[in-house]
Amino acid sequence: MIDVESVSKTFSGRAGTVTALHDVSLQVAEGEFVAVVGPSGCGKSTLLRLVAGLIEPDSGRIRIAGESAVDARNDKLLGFAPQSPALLPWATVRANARLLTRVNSKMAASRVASPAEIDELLTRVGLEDFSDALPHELSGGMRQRVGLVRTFALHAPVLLMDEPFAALDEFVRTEMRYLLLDLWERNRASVVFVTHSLSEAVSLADRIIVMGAQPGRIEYVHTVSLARPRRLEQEDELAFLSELRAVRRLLSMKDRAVDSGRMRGVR
Amino acid sequence: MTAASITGGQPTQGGSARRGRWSSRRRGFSLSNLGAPLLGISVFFGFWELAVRVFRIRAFVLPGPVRILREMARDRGFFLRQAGVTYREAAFGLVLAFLLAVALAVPMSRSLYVERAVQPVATWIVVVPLVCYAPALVIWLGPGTRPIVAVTTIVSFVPILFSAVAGLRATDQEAIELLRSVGARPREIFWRLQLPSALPHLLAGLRSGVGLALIGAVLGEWFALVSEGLGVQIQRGAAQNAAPLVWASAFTLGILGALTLGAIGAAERRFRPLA
Repeated sequence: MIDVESVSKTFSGRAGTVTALHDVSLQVAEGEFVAVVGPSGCGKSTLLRLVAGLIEPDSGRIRIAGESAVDARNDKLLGFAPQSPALLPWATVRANARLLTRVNSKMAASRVASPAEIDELLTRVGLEDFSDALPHELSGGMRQRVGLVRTFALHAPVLLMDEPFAALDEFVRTEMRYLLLDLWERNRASVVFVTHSLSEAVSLADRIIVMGAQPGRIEYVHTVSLARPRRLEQEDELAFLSELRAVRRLLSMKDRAVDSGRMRGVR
Repeated sequence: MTAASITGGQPTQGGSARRGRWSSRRRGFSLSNLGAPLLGISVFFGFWELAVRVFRIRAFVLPGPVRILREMARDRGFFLRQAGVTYREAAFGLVLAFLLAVALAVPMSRSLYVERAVQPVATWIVVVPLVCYAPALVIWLGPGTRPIVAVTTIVSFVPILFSAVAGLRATDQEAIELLRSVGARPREIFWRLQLPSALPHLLAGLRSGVGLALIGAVLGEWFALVSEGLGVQIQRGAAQNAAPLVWASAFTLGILGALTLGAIGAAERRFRPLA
């Protein structure tokens, strides 16, 4: 579904040029849930924005369902969720949830959720009594749920999520994870989910991509062998914990590699 | 406080959250908001009246507020008509300035280069006194309302322009990316996102433009060879040494400005960013 082929991207600013991504390749199958983890500055967000067609790579190629990323974006094949819910402060919950189905409305008009279906989604995430509320009247978790409904209302075959739950506290965050899975199980889009949280990655993903920084690159790929549908109780089970430990070990191996590289540089 | 402080992510009773877009009872117009301004007005005009009486200032030098108000009341129809003329000129110019400013603010907000190109010209417009170009405008556009509206437009244009640029720039970048991610056209992003985001800034710009527009209309009337309007009456009163006429016209102008600012202020409270 998503095919990223040896993509590189550098940014040049006043402080010089930064290689955000170097020769990154990644395939995501139809209906596969991929989580991307790694330290700050490893190019996770850049990778996501490239796939979303918001920026263009310097070299390499990105295909989404056989189209270029920009075409996929213009054809409304992508459900992109930014870090903050980015709700329109003057629009009601319902209007915010409908926003993406309404813009560029000539595209995918028959695919996106109808107003009635969006109301149903709002009910599903427990916001039925808040359809007419304004975003500032909601808690952070509730706003993020509006954001989820807005993304899922597109019925897009590809979902790209950039740390959507990063600003939430631990309890709400865990809750959001399973709400996301619940929505996802219904039509199983291909997902690329960027996160800082390893337990989030393990509980959500089929595969976890571990990235490294300077230059941003893919270090390891870990396949999570936990049954679906995933449940919150699983997080206490041995299988979950050993997956978590495996990913943590991969991350620490990578850190050591980076450290030794730096020391070599000093010499 | 209302439902603004629901925490914990759990939906509570929904009754208080049912509310239309924009509106919020706490932010609306209320009589208690008038207390402070009324006090200020009373103190200012009270001292004025007192000074005129204590020092026995003659009316042709400076009439007291009571005398001025009596003058206004005696010729209500006349002052209302003059106010109508001047207000129409000012409002027309202000609306024109607003539309031009928003149109120019769009390319300026997108490109720093364009903004820097416009900057010196805008500064020039602000700095050059309008008495310099008002006569020229009358020659180009002919006597009558047109040069007055032109003067009004020019003087109120710049503050609205810079507020509009700031407003369009203040749009949430993540929201812009979100709309781009579903292939929204720049025009859709402008109408659905940038313009509503800029609304509070636009109103603030309009507020700073109101006073300038009224001054512009008055000054325009002095040059445009017209026979009606508050500016004309001020000029006529000054020529005839009729201080009460001058001051009654000025008072009318002040009331017009205050009412307009009050209305814009109310709109600003209503459209204040809520996030």
